[in-house]
Amino acid sequence: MFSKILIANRGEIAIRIMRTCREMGIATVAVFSEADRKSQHVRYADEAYCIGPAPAIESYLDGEAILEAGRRSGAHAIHPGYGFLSENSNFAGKCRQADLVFIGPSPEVIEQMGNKTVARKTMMESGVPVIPGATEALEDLEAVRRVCAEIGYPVMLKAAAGGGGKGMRIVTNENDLQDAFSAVRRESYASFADSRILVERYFPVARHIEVQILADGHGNVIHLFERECSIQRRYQKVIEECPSVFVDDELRDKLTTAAVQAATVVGYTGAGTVEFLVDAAKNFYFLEMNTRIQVEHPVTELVTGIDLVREQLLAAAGERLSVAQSDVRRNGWAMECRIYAEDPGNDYMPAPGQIRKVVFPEGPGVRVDSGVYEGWEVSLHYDPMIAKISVWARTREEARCRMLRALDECIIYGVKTNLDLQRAILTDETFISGKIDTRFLDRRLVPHPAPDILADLAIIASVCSTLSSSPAREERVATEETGLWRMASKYQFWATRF
Amino acid sequence: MKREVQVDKRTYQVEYEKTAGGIRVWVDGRSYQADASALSGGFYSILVNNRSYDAFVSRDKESFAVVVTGKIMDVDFFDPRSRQPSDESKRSGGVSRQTICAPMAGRIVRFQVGAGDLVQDGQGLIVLEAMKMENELKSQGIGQVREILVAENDVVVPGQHLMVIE
Repeated sequence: MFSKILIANRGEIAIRIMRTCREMGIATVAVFSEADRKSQHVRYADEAYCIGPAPAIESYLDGEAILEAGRRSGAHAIHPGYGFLSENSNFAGKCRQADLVFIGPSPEVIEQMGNKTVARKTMMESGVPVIPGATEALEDLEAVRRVCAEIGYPVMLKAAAGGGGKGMRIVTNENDLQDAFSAVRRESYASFADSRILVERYFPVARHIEVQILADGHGNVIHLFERECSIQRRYQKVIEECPSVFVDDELRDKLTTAAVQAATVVGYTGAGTVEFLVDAAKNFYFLEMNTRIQVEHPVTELVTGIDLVREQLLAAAGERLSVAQSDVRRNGWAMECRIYAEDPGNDYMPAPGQIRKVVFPEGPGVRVDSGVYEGWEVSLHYDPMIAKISVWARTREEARCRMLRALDECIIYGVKTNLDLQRAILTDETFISGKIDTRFLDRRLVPHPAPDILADLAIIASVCSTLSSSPAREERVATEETGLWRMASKYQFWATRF
Repeated sequence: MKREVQVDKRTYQVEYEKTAGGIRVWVDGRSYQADASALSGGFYSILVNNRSYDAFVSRDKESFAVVVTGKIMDVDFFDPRSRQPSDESKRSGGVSRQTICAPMAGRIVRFQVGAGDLVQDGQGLIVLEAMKMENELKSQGIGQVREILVAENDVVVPGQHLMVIE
């Protein structure tokens, strides 16, 4: 096993990876942009290296700067997290040349599966159904126009190198095609340094269901069941569940078999996700394969008890997965809510700013993955996700009620968040019944009703604040306390290692 | 003490006094006996008729942001003399004039209209990139583009005026 790895990412996922490293006795190296000097992942790591200015293209997407940090720190491997360079085969290849292990599949497999057109071809050849669309990535508007005419509107334009909802547009008629084409190209280039575009048929009513797989270099390929990810806004997931309320044993068998087959065919290693679109009649189509850890991996971890990052590290180090398919059991139900700094009332406009107060939920069955703290500035340069709140319970209904309880314990003040929206989703009749599809958030939800007493309580609290003394001073003490506790655990770690 | 208070756009008549056991508060005639204890970090433990609540309060002069059971509310105490929260923006002249402001920090990608163009209600005006997403700023009414105050590729701060429409 590696003794030191570099995490080429930021925020919650960087910390998530470092946590497993710490449990395994692996030293961690953080990289950060100038805007992230005070970021939690820098504070949590054993070592940290600045790799450039705030814009991602000059720091987290700068492969050379990251490799240089790898050399200087003496790390043995690089974990790319999700987003940024995680699905960049060129970067994976450079790691190999630099004698650094890229924690993920080989560059050839990333090229084959990360590249959506090649992935499509591979799936078609192995008999997995795919969505009608262009068979190759396009750069030319006229070519896109021809394909659209062929497959019929509505169509989806998306970045060939994309993921995470960036660089995607639905086009319902030919008149809107040119604008959407230009926008997708620009967003794609800004996020992934690649402006090629994919075109495919858009299904207005469908579910997004994905299968988690794990594979090692010894021929073991296993699945960890499915995740339901239909609650999305701007093509980005908001709530995920494991298992899916829509998937029965028969469909589960088909989906997981197709996913394992996909991974086996390409010689996949590490953790990966095969995404499917499932229509109302339970037909499924291969969407894409994500050759990396997913944002929503905690729900799978909660239901199976398997640490996906640990398995990634084992596979990358050439060892065997610690579990066989027969060891993988589904236990209970998990849900994850992504908390974004954004304004759901204003088309989910990102809402950067300083987090002035943050309290995360605790207690039975609750897991929080976050990279923010009080005083942290949510920057406009990166993704506006603040935290992932996940819960586990025996049934979907228990998980739902537990999530509502957890969200009620959560306080985030200083930036607008989607906490109220999350509550509204969780109390919506359609959501409760499980009859959800990817358009769920397009219709207006009834706000979670606040009892009248709440306004009175707010007034009483304000009056209390007026009548009591100097709250400002006390606020500072609290921040310092948190800081000291974090430090204490860090020193303790060093003490046990040496 | 008698005050007029606004919570999330609704106005309440509030009266309060210190008592031996804490404070007594009347909200639109509803009476509450509250025992409030200030904790650290802006938190208060409040027992209202022995029901227990935790509140976080952030105060800026006469305006409060209060979080109770995870819900954020804005509480404004009106100036007792003017009895009106100051809101000049809605009362300026008869001509409908809108100033398009940046809702957040970001970079101007491009303009969808030019100076002198007539715009419809809801029409896209400016594409602003922030956090890797392109966001379209739309017109809130019909009018004519009077002035464009920024250029493409400019980096703008929240609240910065971008365009004037009359």
